[in-house]
Amino acid sequence: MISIRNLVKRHGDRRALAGVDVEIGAGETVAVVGPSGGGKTTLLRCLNALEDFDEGSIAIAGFELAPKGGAMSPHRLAELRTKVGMVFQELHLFSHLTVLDNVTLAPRVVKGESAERAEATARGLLEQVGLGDRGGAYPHQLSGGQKQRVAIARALAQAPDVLLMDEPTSALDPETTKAVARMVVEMTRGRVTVVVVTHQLDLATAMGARILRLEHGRLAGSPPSDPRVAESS
Amino acid sequence: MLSLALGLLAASSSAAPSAPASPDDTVARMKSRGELVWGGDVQGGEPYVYEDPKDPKHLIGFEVDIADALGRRLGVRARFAQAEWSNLVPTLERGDFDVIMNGLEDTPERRDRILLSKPYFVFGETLAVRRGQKQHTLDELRGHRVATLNQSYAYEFLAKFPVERVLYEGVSEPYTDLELGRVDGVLLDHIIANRYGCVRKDVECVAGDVTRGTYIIGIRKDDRRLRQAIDDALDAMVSSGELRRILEHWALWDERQDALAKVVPAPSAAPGNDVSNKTIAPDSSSTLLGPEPVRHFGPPDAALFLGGALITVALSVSAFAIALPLGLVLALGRLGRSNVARWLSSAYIEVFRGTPLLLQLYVLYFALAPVVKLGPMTAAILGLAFNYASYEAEIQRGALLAVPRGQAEAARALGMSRWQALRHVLLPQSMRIALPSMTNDFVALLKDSSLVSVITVVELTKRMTIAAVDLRGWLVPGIACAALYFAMSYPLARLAVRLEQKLKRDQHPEPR
Repeated sequence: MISIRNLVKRHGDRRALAGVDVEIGAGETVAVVGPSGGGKTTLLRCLNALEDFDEGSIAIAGFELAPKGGAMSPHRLAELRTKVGMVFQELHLFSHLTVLDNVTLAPRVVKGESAERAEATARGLLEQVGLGDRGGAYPHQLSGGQKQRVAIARALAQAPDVLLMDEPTSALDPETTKAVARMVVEMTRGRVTVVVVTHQLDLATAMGARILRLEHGRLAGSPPSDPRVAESS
Repeated sequence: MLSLALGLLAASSSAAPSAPASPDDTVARMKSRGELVWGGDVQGGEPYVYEDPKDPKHLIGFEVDIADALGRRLGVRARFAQAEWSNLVPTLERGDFDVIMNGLEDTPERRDRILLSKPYFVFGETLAVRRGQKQHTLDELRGHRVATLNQSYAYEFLAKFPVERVLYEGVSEPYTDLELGRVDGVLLDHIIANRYGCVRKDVECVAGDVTRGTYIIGIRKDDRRLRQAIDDALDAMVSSGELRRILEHWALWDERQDALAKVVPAPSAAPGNDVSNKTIAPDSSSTLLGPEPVRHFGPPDAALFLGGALITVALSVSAFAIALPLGLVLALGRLGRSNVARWLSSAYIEVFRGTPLLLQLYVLYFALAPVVKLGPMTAAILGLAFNYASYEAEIQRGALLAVPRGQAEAARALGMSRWQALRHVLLPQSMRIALPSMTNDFVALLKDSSLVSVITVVELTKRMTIAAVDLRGWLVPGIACAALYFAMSYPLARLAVRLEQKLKRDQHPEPR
């Protein structure tokens, strides 16, 4: 599902990613751990083309990403992003929209789904994240954990093949963290490939994720599920 | 080269009904239209052309009577068109009316610029000084400040004397300042001096005319045929005694008028029908209409003021409806990735923000008239809109930048295009942020709309200045005008405060 080859990303002279190679299978859950500034978030943002990279290649959900943004048309880019959902560390819920509209906006606008269909999907997802009764609320009326669930529902609303999560539980207490982990596993198991960046090992464990350790822009040893991962230096 | 291009453009535009495109066709157009449109400024007050105290919607004055008589002799109806007095010549040139008749004096400058008819009135320049003051001649006033009207014959005449000239736009204010000691002399036509100056307790009018001059009708440079027709009509009015009857009716006939024609027949015993039933018959034993107001502020004025306020609102709302989207486009251009769009937007904003709105209105209405001849209302709305778009652009740009960056990123991560993100995520939020500033901006626009009176639109402020002349005072019309502006802007100002407070309440920082 995801194949990353010799990924290099420079910030000026510094190499944020210094040659990352990794294979992630369809339906697999992977946790990228490591110290702050180790390149975790950068790696995640490269995966849905929010950031360009300088060398190497990424194959993800049937799309080939080339260095410097490649020659991807805006249309292909939109398609890629409907296939690769993202949950930001800061969530970035749309503050002017209700919970329900937060979830239905992209399917309606990007995929052109009818309002009824998008709403039906959204209600199902909100039910699954335990917010079936909060569709009419605005983000600022929700608790941190509830907002986190809305962000997940929003990222899954376009039925992506890959879900990227950046520090999804950093603002949550341990109980809520566990609940969110369980919820994500239930909602994605076997169907959606999950890449989660975290510094909380217990979250990775709770999600049953393969752990990749990213340090100084390189992947350090981790239980390789694929022999090629060992090639990364 | 440029003027040639402009000329071609002007010649090719047939939309302008009275554009000075080809010479001498004004007469034909006037006949086919069935009306002679004459320009003046009601703010000049009585006895020239002013609002009937009984019915302020109806104009009266000796020039109204002369225009009606001229019209009858030319076989058309006379219709009045309002313009700022100091802009009468450029407004004539851009074709808003066929002729000027509003105390327009014969001066060398005007002879150079437009055609002048034969005179219809002879005036004397009256020097007014403060009662008890030593200086009683212009020579004695050496080095002192002497007031007169902008664009007047007296202004040119005063250049020959070693005095400091002070310019006014209204007829009453020079005398107020004379009483207050801000100026030491006022030189104006005797009609004005008699009505607005000499009647004041502390003003003393020096006997005898300092000089004499004539009122003439102003005609566009090319309209030689029209001038001939008007001169013929005036000749006939003089020889038939009609002009004398009109001037006598308004108590304006005096020995000065003997110069109008060598032989002026005595008036026929019965006054003409056209002037016999006038509502105002000034006491001919006194040429001085006391300082008492021609009328008092009453319901008809209130109705006119409300009408003016309505125009102010219509202007402001229409201008803002254009300024907002235009400003938004400019803001997006300035924030966008295209260097050309960025440069163009910045240039627009800097030019329109960096030059006076008044100048922009003049350019739009007068300077561009040979190319695009906009109507007064259109020019006023566009002028305000173009100017305010530059302020709106900066408000919208600031508001867009104030939307947290993550919102745009989240939209992009969901697959939205830049336009979709703008439309569905950024603008709904930035508009909310901009709302208080936009409301304040609209209040400012509401008040700036008073500037458009320079391009002949009579809105609330102009309505007030017109009324102030006839009511002989600024206090009541000023308060009425201020009250109306306040009634329009205060609710909006309150709304802006409410919106700002609501915005503060709603702004919950995104959790980290």
